[in-house]
Amino acid sequence: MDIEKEITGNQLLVKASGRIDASTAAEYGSSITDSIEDDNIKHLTLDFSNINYISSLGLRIILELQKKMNTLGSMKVIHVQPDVMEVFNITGFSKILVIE
Amino acid sequence: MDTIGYKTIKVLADMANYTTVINWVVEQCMQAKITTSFATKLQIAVEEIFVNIASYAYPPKEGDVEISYYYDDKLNQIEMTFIDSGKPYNPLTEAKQPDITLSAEERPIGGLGLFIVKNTMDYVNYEYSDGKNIFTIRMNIDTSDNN
Repeated sequence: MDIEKEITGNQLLVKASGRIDASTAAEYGSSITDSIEDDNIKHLTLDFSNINYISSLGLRIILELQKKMNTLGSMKVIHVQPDVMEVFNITGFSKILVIE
Repeated sequence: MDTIGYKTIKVLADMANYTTVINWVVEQCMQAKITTSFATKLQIAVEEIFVNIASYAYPPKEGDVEISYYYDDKLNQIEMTFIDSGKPYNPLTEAKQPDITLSAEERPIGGLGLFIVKNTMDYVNYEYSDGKNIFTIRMNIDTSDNN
């Protein structure tokens, strides 16, 4: 999985591509968590333009990030694709995430 | 039974084999020419069930899981079964029903895998027979907007 990160002040924009699944979720989560801690991030944006698959292991990471950012500042998920949105809807994640 | 489109794979039920299993399912989806949306749903279901079996069926011991795939092009339906000889475990009754109305703060981490499977597949069934856990899923495929 490719993970691109762009930091502007205390804002982090993460643009990854591919699947957030059993083989990539841990890497995706730890890469973002490391940046949040190292760069004193308060606002996190996850760009899902190129994420076409998410499983429950991916949701676990997203929920952990949301809980973390609730205490630090804010988090939003942008450009969510239909197949991923369906998983967010089924699991109620569409109600607990800020999706733009 | 029309057995065209019947495939099977047997692997050690270990997360090291996750990619092998998923790539195998991706290949079946491509051969069946099902839409990306149905293929994604099926792959997520397979991932959730495989992860469950790899995590709970045998540890600390080891054992195999046999996964079969059958595409019935008359019914436009895919059926998959997962058979392991591990501890009896019915994920449909033993996995807790998640409360999806809770806030992010209140929601526990995890417990959504089988919930997704139940909500995306058209049929799910578990049985324990001859010392084996047998988990079956079926997904109806709408081919009217095949693209």
